[in-house]
Parts: sequence; structure tokens; C-alpha cells
Amino acid sequence: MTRLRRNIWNLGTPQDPWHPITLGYAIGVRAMQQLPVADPRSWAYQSAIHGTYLTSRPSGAPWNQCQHATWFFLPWHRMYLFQFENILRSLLPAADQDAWALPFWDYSSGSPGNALPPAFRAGTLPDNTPNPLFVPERRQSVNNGVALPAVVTSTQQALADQQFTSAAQGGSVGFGGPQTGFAHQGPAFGQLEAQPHGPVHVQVGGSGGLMTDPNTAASDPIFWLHHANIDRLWEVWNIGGGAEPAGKAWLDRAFSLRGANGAAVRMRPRDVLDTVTQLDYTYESLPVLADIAAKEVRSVPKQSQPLLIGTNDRPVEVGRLGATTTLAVTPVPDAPEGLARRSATVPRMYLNVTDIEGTRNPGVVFGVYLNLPDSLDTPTSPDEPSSPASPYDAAADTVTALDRADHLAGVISFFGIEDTDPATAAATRKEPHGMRYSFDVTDVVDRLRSAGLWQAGAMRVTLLPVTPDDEPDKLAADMPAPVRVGTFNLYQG
Amino acid sequence: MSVLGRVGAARPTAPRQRRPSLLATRPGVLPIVASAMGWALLVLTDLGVLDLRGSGRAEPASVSVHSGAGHGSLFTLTGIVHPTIMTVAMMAPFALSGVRMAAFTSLWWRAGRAAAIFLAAFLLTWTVIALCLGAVATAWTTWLGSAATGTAVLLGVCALAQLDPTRPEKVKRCDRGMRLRSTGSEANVDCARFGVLTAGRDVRFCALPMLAMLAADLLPAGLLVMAAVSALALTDRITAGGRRLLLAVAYAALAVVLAVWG
Repeated sequence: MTRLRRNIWNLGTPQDPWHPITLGYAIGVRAMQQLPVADPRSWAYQSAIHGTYLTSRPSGAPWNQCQHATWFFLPWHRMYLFQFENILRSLLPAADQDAWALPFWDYSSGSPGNALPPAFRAGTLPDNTPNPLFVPERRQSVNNGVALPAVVTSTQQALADQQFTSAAQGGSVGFGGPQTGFAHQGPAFGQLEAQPHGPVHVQVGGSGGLMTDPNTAASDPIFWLHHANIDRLWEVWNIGGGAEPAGKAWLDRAFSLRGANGAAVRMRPRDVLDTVTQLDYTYESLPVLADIAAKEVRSVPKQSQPLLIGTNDRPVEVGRLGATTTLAVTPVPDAPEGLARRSATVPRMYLNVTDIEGTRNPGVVFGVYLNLPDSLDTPTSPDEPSSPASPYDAAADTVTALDRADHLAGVISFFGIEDTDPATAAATRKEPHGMRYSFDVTDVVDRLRSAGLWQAGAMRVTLLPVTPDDEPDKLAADMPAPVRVGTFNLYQG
Repeated sequence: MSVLGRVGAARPTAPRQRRPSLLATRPGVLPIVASAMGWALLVLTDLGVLDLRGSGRAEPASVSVHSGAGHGSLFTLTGIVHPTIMTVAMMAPFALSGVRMAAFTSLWWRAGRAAAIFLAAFLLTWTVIALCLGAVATAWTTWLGSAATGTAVLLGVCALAQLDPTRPEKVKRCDRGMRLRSTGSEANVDCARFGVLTAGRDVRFCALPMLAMLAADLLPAGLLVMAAVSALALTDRITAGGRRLLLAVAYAALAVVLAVWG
């Protein structure tokens, strides 16, 4: 029987969110939380498979296994969710087991779906017992029902990338992530992982929240619905024509997990390619998904190797208020014609933010803006229209004022920054190295050019929180050290 | 200040060329051409067309016991030329990933230079290593009294090394990047440093095959064995240790052939 994973916002109402599927999830989570940590079906054990700071672990436990910043990100999390779903289902009353499937949280659907589902904000279950789906270690505004900003939940850039992976240095790393071996924290984020995956983690968790850190994220019950949505977006991408790698290096990499009876299970990406025939589940509203796919999945030409045309002088420290740097840019002369002749593709521009290191996530999602003027340089909500910018001094008659959103290249959440710190990496059995984000900025640069806000010799990059700071108390008590960004590189090709 | 005014404060960089060079867009050509030229010179030497060994040996050696003439003297120019060419032939393809990284993380107008500096530093480091290993290979085969047996034993050790289950993870670490400064002499220094560091990281995976190759150079059919060992070492690197059992069998088979032959 093919089970249906449903949108949590379609289950129940804001006044009474306790639809049987949602209530079943809460009951299952509670049952898992009551199992001892050594039981592979327990909440703590399952969470630790993703990541944990616990140093003593049961013999043979596959802890700290989550795959991030790698082309295994999507298949590993699909396997992980599938086994988790089986475990949770097995702990439900027998009569409820057949119909139950993990719901998903579609935060990209606008209001009201972009707010944390009500069942995760309620203090108690219908029987007045404590609600295991509520955790206080989240951003307070999110727990109060404030919507996630569209800039955080956007799927547009991810779904636009039709390649699953790409080896091109400096260009997009593809929808699914860069080619690696086993990578608990790999070198660069794939498009879907970069957004909305990471930003939703950090926007929900806030400073010091469970969701903000990969080593605690799976302890928050919303984690599983967030990842069900990421899994669903992989399906959307498939419907839009995206295809996974066909090589054995990707298809046959086996990962160790724990199944419904707690026994060891090994799964490979080739075992999870078709959710219906291989895993017996599908997602609600597939026709709607097809519409989304048709709308958002547009063909970005296969990229040639881009050339580095601009870079910054020295590393930049990013505090909670953001940072600014300027890149000296030397465009490739006549490149559009030359490249177009050679590869029959339109040259694109990519901004790479690389060599990112830090010890703790500041709990802020940053927008990355190009040539942002001072008048727009304040962290207000990006969803509200900003006041028109003042005309700029040079050639005022050719400069058009743009909204801040027009300068936006993408967002950075620093999700997983803890693992760039050698001490943390050693404690969680990882290899430390800097993080990298890659943004296709072709459209932004075109907009800036049209508005007279682009000049050949230099480009200014501003990192700015996408929402005003809503955790001043936490800040005052415990200010995290700034994140260090080594390099901003602009590529053309 | 306006955004354009502030942006204009960036340090200007003037391109030294009008269009990207071939090395800027296809830096991988450099190590491949270097390796091909190295192999061509080795073949010509083996055929007796050239004498790069400094041994006056125009014909392939016909003895299995090393006479001590194969590598020439380390203290003469000709004693350095042959191991250097062997190093370029065998090791240049191992620099492919680093050369691409150096070029594509450098500004386009200096990408070709970055690739060349990286490759030069990488090969220079490996030449020094190879000269040292050449002395070890000579001592080893002299001590055993048979170049074939000496090579076979080294290939056996290569086969055993493939059985290390952590090998894939270790091999992948050879291809780490490094932040390169963008302009000026600092950028050149960074590229050279990157080349030396990459060569150093390769030592623990390539030193044994290189040693076997240098020992095989003393055999009558040394060039064939060298080519086979190079191909196996390169396969190990390209597959990132993913074919280690197959490679172990191949190394062992080659060792058995040489042992029987010796």
C-alpha cells in the first residue's frame, strides 16, 4: 500500500490542530523519547545518527552519520526519514499503523503555511499532557507563530538548477551537491541544501536553538517535517525533469542505519530513487507539484568552467549585524561572444563565498546583496517594499532606484559552521574544513546593469540579516564569536 | 557616500592580457602535455635514440642483477636528468586536480601563471623526493642482488598497502585546496606553496609505487613495468581508493610475474 505524506497545514485547523496523523506523530515521538538511549529506536539514538555531541555511544551505533554539503545529502536524508518513519509507526497502536505517514511542512506555500504548524507551538496535547512536539529551544518569534520570511523559504534558485551535481570550480555545485565520498560535512552546499534547507534550520532554531546546529537538529520534532519537505522538493525537481547521477560512485554508496526493529540496515541511493515502488510512499498534491515544477524549474544551461574575475583582499568577520566587503573585478573582455561561440551557452556569473570558518552559528540568516546602497542597508523585513533609494551621484540620470530585494543574490545560514572548528569536528568524528556557498548572480547583475548600478572595476557585497534581531536578550547574555569568511569570489563563464 | 562611490574604492587590477589564455581556460593541458613529453623521452631513451641516463648505455641492460649504472650518479647533471624525466612522466598527471584548482581560484589573467607555478613546484618537490628514492632503490636492489626481486617485493608491499580499509578517505585528502592570495608576488608564493604541500600530501601514497618504478628502471623491460606501475598508481588516485582490491590483485600479479622472471 502506498502511504501518503500530507501537508501538516492541511491536517486539522489552527484552533484544533490535532488531526489523527499529527496526534499520531506526537504519540510516536513521546514513545521514542521514553525508550532508553541504547535502544536504536529511541529518540536520542535516532537523533544522534544525524549528529550528537555525546562522546560515549552504544557499541556499533552509527552516530554522526548525516551527509551534508555533498551529493549524498538528499539520498541519505531520504533513507534516514524512511527508517525513522518506520520506527515511529511501529510504536503506534496497531490500528493506526497502516494509515500513518510522516507529514511535511511546506513553508514555501505562503501564509499560513509559512508559520510553524500550530501543533508544534501548543504546550499540551488534547489530554492536557505535555506536548512532545513543542520545544522551547527555538527562535521565540517562530514559536509565537511569526511567519518565516519568503527570502528564507524560497525554492526558486534550487529548482532552477537542472544538474544534480557539477565539478566546475567556482560555478554552481548543482541541485544535489558536490561529488564527494562519505562526507559528514563536505566542501560546498548543493542548491537545495543552501536554500531553503539551511536557512529554515537557522530561522527556526535562532541563536543556540536545537535546529541551528546539525549535532542537535534532529532532537527538535519539526526537523523531520522540514526534511520531509526537502525530500518532497527533490520529487518536485524530478517532475520538472531533473535526473540523478547514473554512476556507481553515487548509486552504490551504502549507509548504515537502524530499522523498525532496531536492527542494522544498509541502504544505498539506488534503493531510494522511486519513493512509490521502493519505499511505499508518495506526497500529497502531486498535480500541484507538477505545476510548481513547470513554473519554477527552468533550464539553466549546462555550465562551462567559469573564470575568476573578481575577489576580495582579505578575510571578513561577520557578526550578527552582518558585514561588507568590496571585490576588485576585472571582467573577461569579449567573453560573452567568445564563450557563446565555443559552448553555445549564455555566460553566467557566480558569486562564491568560501573558506567560511566559525565556532558557533550566530543564529541569523543573512541576505547576500550586491552593490546595496546605504539607504537600503538596514535589516528590515525583505518582504515589505523598501523606500525608494536616493539617486546615486554618478550619472544620476542613468541610475534607477531598486528595491533591496533586487540586490539580493541569495541567503547564507552558516548551518553546520560548528564543524569547521577543529575541536568540534574532532569531538563529532569529522574532518574540519571551510564551508562554501555558490550563488548564480547573473540575473542580479543584469538588473544592476540595467539600473546603472554596475561598474566594471568593483563590486560591493553586503551580508545583512534578513530579519531584524528578535533575540536581543540571548545576544546580551551570550554573544557568539563572529564567523570568518575567507574569500568572496566572482566568476564568469 | 553613494554605493558606486564606495565600490570604486576597491583596489583596481589591470589585466595583462586581452583574452584568457589556453592555460587559463584549460589548465589541465599543462600536466598532461608534460607527462606525455616525459614518456616520449623515456621511450626514446629506452630505444637507444637518446642517452639521458649518463651511463653510456645505448642498449637496454641485459642483466637482472643491478650493475649500479642505471641511475647514473646523483652528483652529475645526467644523473639528475633521467630521474627528473621519470618524475615528470609519472607524477605530472597527479598534479591535474591541483593545477585546475590553482588556475580556477586565481584571477583569469594570471590563471595560466598560477597553473605553471603550481606544477613547477609540485614536480620540483617530487624530483627531490625521486632522487632520494633513487638512491634507496639502488641500495635496495644491490643489497638483494636482483632488480627483479627488489621490484617484486616493492610491488608486493604496494599490494598490501591497498588492503588498508581507510585508504579511500586518506587518498581523498590529497586533493585539498588552499586559499591563494589574488595578486602580486604573494600570489606566486601561495601557488608555489600549494604545489609543495600537495606534493608532500601525495608522498605516502605515491612513494612506494615511485620506489618500485625506480627499481624497475634497472630491468631490461623496465619501461613496461614503469608504465604499468604508473597506470596502477594513477588509477588508485583517480578512483580515490575505490578500486583498491582490484589494484591489490594487479600489483600482486605484477609482483609474481617479476618474481618468477627474476
